[in-house]
Amino acid sequence: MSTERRPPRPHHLYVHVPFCRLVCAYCDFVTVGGRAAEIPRYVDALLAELALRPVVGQLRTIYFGGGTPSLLPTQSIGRLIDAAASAWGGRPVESTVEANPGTRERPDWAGLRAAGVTRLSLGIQSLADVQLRALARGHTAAEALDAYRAARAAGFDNVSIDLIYGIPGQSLDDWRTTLRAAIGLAPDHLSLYGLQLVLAPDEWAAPPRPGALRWRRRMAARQDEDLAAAQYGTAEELLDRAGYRHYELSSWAVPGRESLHNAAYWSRAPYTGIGAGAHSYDGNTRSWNERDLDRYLEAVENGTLPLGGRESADEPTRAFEAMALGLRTVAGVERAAFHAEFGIDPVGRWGTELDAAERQGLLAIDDVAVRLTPRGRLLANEVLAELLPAAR
Amino acid sequence: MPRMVSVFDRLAAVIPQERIRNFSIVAHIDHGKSTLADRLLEATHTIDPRQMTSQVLDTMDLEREKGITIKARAVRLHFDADDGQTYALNLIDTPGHVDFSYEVSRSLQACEGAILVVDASQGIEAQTLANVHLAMDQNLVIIPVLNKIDLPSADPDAVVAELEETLAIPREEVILASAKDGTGVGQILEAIVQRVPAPHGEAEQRLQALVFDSHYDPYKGVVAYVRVANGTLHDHERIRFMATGAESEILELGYFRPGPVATKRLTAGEVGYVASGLKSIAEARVGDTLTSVQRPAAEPLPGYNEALPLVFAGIYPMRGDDYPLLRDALERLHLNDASFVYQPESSVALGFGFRCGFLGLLHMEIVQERLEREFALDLIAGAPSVEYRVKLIHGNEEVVVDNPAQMPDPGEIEQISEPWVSAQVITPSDYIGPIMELATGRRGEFDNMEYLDPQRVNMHFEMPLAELIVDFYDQLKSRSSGYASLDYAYRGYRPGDLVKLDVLVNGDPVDALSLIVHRSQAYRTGKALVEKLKELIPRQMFEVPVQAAIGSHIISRETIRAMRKNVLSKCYGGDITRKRKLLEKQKEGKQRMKRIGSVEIPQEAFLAVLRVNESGS
Repeated sequence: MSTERRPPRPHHLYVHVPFCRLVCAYCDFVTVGGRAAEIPRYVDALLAELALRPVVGQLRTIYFGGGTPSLLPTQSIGRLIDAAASAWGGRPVESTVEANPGTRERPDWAGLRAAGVTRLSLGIQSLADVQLRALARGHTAAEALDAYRAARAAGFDNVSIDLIYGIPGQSLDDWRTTLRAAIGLAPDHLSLYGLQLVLAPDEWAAPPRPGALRWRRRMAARQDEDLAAAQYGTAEELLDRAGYRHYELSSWAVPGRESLHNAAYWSRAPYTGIGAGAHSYDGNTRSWNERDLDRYLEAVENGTLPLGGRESADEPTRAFEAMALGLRTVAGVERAAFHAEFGIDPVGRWGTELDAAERQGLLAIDDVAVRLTPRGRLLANEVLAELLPAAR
Repeated sequence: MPRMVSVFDRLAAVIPQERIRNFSIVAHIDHGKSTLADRLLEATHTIDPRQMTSQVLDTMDLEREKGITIKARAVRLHFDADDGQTYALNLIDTPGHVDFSYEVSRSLQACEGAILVVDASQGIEAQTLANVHLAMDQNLVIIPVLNKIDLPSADPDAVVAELEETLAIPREEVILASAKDGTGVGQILEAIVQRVPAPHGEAEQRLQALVFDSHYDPYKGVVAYVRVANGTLHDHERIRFMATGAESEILELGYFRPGPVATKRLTAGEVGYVASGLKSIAEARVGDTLTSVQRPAAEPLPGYNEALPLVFAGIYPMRGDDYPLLRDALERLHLNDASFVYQPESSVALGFGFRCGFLGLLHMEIVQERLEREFALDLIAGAPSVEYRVKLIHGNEEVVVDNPAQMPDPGEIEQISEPWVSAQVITPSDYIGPIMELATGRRGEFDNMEYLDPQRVNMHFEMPLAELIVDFYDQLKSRSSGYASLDYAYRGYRPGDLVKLDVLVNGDPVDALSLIVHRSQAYRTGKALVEKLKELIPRQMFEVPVQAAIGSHIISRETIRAMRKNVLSKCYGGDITRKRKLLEKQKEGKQRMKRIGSVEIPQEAFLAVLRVNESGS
């Protein structure tokens, strides 16, 4: 019997902040508009939820996502980081806050630094006003540039920016212009998202308001799949030339500046999510919080965990997730690691399916790993749908 | 010798034939027939308003959803009239769609009167007019009712004038009503008593009972709805259906109030049901005459016809394994609806399935929906077709072809004939132009037109049935802002310059997409069809050509480009479970497609021909 103490497992914390000044019509995360007055109450609830959660490992990263987390007072962000660090032990090596660049929702950058935030993710989305207007983002390209420079001036040395392609009316040239301007800012990290318009509401997404749904339908009718694919190809090319490393389907980074927090999701590390609608994974079970803000607040204020639902992941589901998440990374699914966990090589488990995908030019399989080809990166769903576990 | 009788039985026994009234309601869809029926049931205490689910008479879910009555039902109402007497009023419900005009005529034959319900803002519609003519042909007393007079858009004066003009109905006979709020209901009931004659018929004569509807009940076998014309039906006696020759002993005799009430006998003039114990509805056809085996009538009642299917389509299971399930489902459905026919067929593209014949397009939709809903089957229904008669160069016989894929080689054909119908369209005169254009574009031949009033006309066309069944009705509605109404009747076969159009997907002919078209329209249809297929067939992992051909001659081509992008671009903590669910949905969607060669084709594509005229034309 060993009495040796194992080092505490690293753990990751996600904090969801649903408040927005403007709710974007394309967004299907959990968001609320017009309720900023309740932010202090919500911060208290987050602290209370944190106290209700069992301590399962040592805090390695923390990520404030939304919604618009930069709407939180910087002291509140500081309190949350401190509370998590003291409850779970250890100082996080990466603390990210998502921020909007609009002048009316821009945070106090220096205050964020002082609160312990080490990384910013700026929702710039486009550097062309016409596209920002099309998305009704509520900020201009000039404001975005200002915000970026102000953050740098405040001392942030790890800044990521989000951009959106596939916007109706956005030509290949328009996209190239935005990309060049973004590269010119020399961010540490870029996340590029194809505009995804969810038309059929599903139980996993926040239900869109009727107006948003009409807007999505109109926009979706003007989307061009071929153009979006070409825009993605252009981004791969330009960013590679600028020295960024493509490390995940939608993520590029200066080497060493990859997002540690997001990497935890893709490597299926355990994490805890707090806040309305936040998800958690403990290695066996995926669970999620009550999505409705009022019910979330009520539960936590009554001293109970605001659980919305849970699903335990059986072996076939875990194996599928290993592929679904591993294939998102450019490095792919490492065959030996998969074998070590599931007792069989992925090529042994899904011989026919992987072979077919390889012949269609979607997958590259070598001795070390299974990865998506550049064409496959845009058709990942076609590969993954074939690997789904049999319906339960 | 006192015996136990139910209240209803006793009442029935004391209502003599002269105080029986048999009537139907004739109305256009949405003009309020079912609501009026509900009000009549409430006003006569046949049903407690609190138990009322709206529209009691339409018992099938489908009927309620489609707002139409598919199967006739008969309900007995007891009404205490102003003269102090209690009357038995038998309300015989009629189907409200052109596909079922034969059934309507049989229901009307069981009546002496008909309430004509016309929407006070819409006026009379083509089908209603056709049904009123049927009723008048059978010498029924017509009680005209203007419904929905409570609506602000109601224009009673104009509609009354229209009734006077088109049907010679005196304006003083017209009752103003609102089935919604109950206005006029009492007046309608009194009018039934006063204006509709009591049924004729002799209780002592040999039994003749008209079957005006039937359904299959798993416990009681075939239940026939009858109107006794002459003689008396006795519980447990042996009966014979005169046209089919089927015989059985009555298991139960009764009438509806609105639930079934058993009785010992039904005599001349009465309406009720006969549970026969027979196993197939085909043995108790609508229009047949029921008689006694012991004392049979010499002659059946006049007017029996077997309803002939006019529209044909292939119905295939999505998964080949479901073929036996589909066969069982069709068998069971057929027990309840003898008017559709089916026989096995096979398709290169779709495998094993059935060729089904229907009374019309709506009937086809209903059967298909019932198969999917009641038997949980995933089906592919092909484009509807008519029955062609083909004269071959060699051989004297005509070949009957109801599946375009089976059309003989063009080199062997001397002549193809197709069924024609005469169609009447009633429309506000503003739409004469667009409707004329629609009908002549569908090879329709204009006969004549009469003005019903200064604003409305009745247009008559002759046209090929094949042109009518492919979205003609939808087009008619859309070109007339929903105002025009349609009725049609089969006329006979005529030769035409027809060709078979084939569709090739990725180079493979898809027999289920073949269709017969007039040569003059082949290019336009071929082009529209491949364009529509390009829209309906999702992108595949490779480029897919879609072609239309006559014989070996390609007349049109489109290319479905290869899929470029299908990826969830954002995937964070909260998205992982959701992503799996979305992929599961995607996979389910794929499983609902039919794989032909290496191309996944969705169900809707097989109905593309129905939609080729949606855009353009």
